[in-house]
Amino acid sequence: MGPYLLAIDQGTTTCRAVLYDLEGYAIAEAYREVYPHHPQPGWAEADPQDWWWAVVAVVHEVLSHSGAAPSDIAGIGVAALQHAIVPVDREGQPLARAMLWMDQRCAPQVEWMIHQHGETIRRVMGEGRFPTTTYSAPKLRWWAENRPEVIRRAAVFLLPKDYLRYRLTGEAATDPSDAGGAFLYHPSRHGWATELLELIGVPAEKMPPIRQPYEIVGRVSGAAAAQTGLAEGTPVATGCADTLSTLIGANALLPERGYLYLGTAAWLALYDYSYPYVTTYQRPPATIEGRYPFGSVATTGAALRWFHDLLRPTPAGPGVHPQIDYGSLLAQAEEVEPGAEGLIFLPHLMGERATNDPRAKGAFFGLTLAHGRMHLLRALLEGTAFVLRQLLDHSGYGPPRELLALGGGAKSPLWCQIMADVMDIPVLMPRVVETTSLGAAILAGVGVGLYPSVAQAAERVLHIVGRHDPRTEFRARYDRIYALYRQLDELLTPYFPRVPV
Amino acid sequence: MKTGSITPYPRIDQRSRQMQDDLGNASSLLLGLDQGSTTCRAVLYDLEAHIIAEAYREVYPHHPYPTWAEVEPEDWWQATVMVIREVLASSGVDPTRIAGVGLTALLHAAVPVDETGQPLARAMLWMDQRCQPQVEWMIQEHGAKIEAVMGPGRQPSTTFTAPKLRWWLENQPEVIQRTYKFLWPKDFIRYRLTGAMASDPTDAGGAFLLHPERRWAWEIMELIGVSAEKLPPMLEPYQVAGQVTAQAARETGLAGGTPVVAGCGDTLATLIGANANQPGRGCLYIGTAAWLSLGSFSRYFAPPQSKVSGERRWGFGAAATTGATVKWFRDLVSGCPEGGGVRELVDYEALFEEAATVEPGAEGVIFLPHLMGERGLNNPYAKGVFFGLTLAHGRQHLMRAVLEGSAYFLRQLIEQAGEPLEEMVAVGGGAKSPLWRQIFADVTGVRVLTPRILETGALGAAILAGVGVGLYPSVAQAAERWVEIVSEHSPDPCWRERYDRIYCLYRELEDRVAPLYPQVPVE
Repeated sequence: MGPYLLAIDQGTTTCRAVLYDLEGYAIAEAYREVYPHHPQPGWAEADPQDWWWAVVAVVHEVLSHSGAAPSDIAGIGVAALQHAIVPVDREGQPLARAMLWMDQRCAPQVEWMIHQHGETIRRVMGEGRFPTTTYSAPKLRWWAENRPEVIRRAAVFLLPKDYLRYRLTGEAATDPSDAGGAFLYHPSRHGWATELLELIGVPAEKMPPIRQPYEIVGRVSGAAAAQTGLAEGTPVATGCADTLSTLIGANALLPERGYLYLGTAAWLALYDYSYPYVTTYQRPPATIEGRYPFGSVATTGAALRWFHDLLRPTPAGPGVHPQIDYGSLLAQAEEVEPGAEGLIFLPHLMGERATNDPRAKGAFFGLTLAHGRMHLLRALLEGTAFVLRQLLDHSGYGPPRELLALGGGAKSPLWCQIMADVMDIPVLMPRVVETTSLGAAILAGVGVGLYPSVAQAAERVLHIVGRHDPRTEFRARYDRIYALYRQLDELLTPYFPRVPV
Repeated sequence: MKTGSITPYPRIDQRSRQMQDDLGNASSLLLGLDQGSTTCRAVLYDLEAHIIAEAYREVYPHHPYPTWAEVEPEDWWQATVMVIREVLASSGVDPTRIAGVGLTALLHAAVPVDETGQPLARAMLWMDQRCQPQVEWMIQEHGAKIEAVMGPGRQPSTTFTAPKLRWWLENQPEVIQRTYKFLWPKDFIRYRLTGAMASDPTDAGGAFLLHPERRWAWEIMELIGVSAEKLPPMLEPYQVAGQVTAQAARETGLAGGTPVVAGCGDTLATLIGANANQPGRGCLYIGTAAWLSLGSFSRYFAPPQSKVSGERRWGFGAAATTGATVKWFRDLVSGCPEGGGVRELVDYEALFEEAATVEPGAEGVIFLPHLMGERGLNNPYAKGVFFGLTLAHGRQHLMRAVLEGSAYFLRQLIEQAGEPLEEMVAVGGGAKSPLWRQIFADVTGVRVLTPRILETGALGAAILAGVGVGLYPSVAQAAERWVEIVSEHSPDPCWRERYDRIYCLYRELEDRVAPLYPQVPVE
């Protein structure tokens, strides 16, 4: 049996392991929820040990469900959330919980970096690049100011996937995508931005070596083998940040293709020839060329979920909830014609990242007694397409020749058709819509030589199973509704901040 | 009896006199009948205005073409028979205890009957749009004449009966030819009860056939080419028009000879049943549609030559869809099982209870309630809007916003009317919710009163019956005695400032998006 490739994907709240064959078919998969800690408002931390124990659990489960012999696993790839850096001491023990990307405590450190050291940052990182609370650099600075012993005692700082690989192999390393997510990657030197490390007070020698995502950097140790049930000596690739892994799994190597991720939030990724990271991933045959600007929209699947929750007596709070049957929910919207019979939805239910307006609000416009749930649903789907079209219009990039749909929303032919019609771009539906773990498996496969290149591997595992072409008969109508949408958005924007809360 | 005048008070037969002798008898009862656009209701009251029994049936209109809406008059009668029988059966009362019967019904929907009382066509409902060409013809060809007769600025619309009569003349002349009399819905039902044909000034008004001198506007009949002879005598709503015939008694179970008053259109009956008859007191009806009346109902009984004529006498703001909006929202949030099947509707009460858990202002959700154009704005293109939505909002916020949106719009109507208003009597199904009443009070700054009985149409009809059979000297005094105010919601000063601010925002939003209304839907 085999060979198989094992992917480990640690998200913000979900830990997943998937065992793939070389054609990209999942042999077995398992996942666990890992909930963050919120010790104070604005704080969000994860215990790295929780990540590890979740990995141990999912790997065990995958091995036992698949019946695969551990020795059939040719290689392991890891992908994980970005930014949440872990300080590790000489014995490999985490010295603090990792601050998640949404943790806001380092806002003063961000201010300090921008106001006191704006010039240095500009010089090192390039024009227009500034840190936010999302990145690791100001989080490290927070420790330096508030818990200096963390910085002092740390032997190495590891990003989440690096910490997990470290637990598997004992080898510390990272890759350019996670170094970039730390706001510590020098764009032309292709190494750590030592000037910034100095500025925030972190010794450069405490940062791990930067390796290519597909390089094999270690092998499963005896201790890790005992814990996980994996075979000792199994090769483990560097891996990369989860967003990049999603693109690798989606065969994001074709310059003419854009990527449309429809998850809780949505993002749009386009090829950019001019991006300075180009050489980073270059190793003929090229793996990932170019940058994918992540234009993102705050609430896409979240809007759908919100609408679903409107049907409940009280909104769903935190905690575990039964899976929502989005399929049958979306089916209701299929009965409605394009244009939702005059209903327009502004999808800014959590501010709007696309227009960088944190105070933006959602709205339904054009309601009549003739509108039922299916009309509101259709308007909701169309509204998310309008905001993505706006994003594309303002991206400064030409429209891609086609869009590959990813994420849970990519399972809906209706939603994909709406995207195609509204954006006037063909939308492709892949067989597998969650490609993050697939990307990690590809990196491992390339690393161990089972695939000649990332490009060829992605070509082999990603199958397009559906294609939605823009329908010319609705072109004019959608253009007019889009114009109305923009007009409505502009008319209402001054009122967003005035809504009493 | 001569067409074109109000008939003198009819003689009361021997049996009714007998009943009049028993008027002091507290065991006397009054029956109110209320035929709405879709609901037929009978309510039996004692003289303390307690409901002894009630019953209702649904009567569905026919829609043979998209803009047509017709009712089979026989359906009205059959529904009336059923509700009367049910009321008698469930109460078990001796029918001879019923001192009088009053009626009210929807306006406008005239029934052409032949000499034997047989309907010659289905009645066109107010929303039936087929007579639009006739309306245009009336306005274009005879606009000046119409204003000269009916008063400045008065023109017909498709709602009124007159253009509907003209439609028959042009399209089915045999209907007009064979018509002996035109009866309006309550008149048709009363005819079946008593054999007497008559109408009243409110239905004449709804027909666009009430002359400012408070007689049939035979000039308009002449203009549309239909003989004024075909109009029945006009009685005052409280005048006894006839007695239950032997045949009607057999059908309904009522006692033969029971007096039946002329009755009136449903608007006036509602005002009477709400005792909206004092200066500064309005009536807020919250049904499927909602409307606000600022005038006292006594103005309906004003003598001829009063300063203004017809409907314009009554400050009347109509909001097209208020109860309908809540029903719409209820349907929206109610689950629909996969692949059809029985739909579980969410309880209104549950929705109101949830909305009550949300603070005034609905945490920033604002609703513009124009789900069917807006009669109150005279804008058929107006649409509904939910504004200010975030992930933190659940259906309880949206429900509260729906209730508040209606109240903002009502405040706008009150401000536009510009008449002093201290309090309003809230009636109709929507008035059942204390939360909504409080919201109306807080948003408008007007005290909201609620009577014990909220279905005021049948109540008003019963009051008219009581006056007609001599139990009470006047409608005003009877209403004063019958209508008991049981709750009062005063505007809460705590929320005054907040609601003022949101109301301003509501108005601004409305002005802002109004130009977009006619642009949707996009074809």
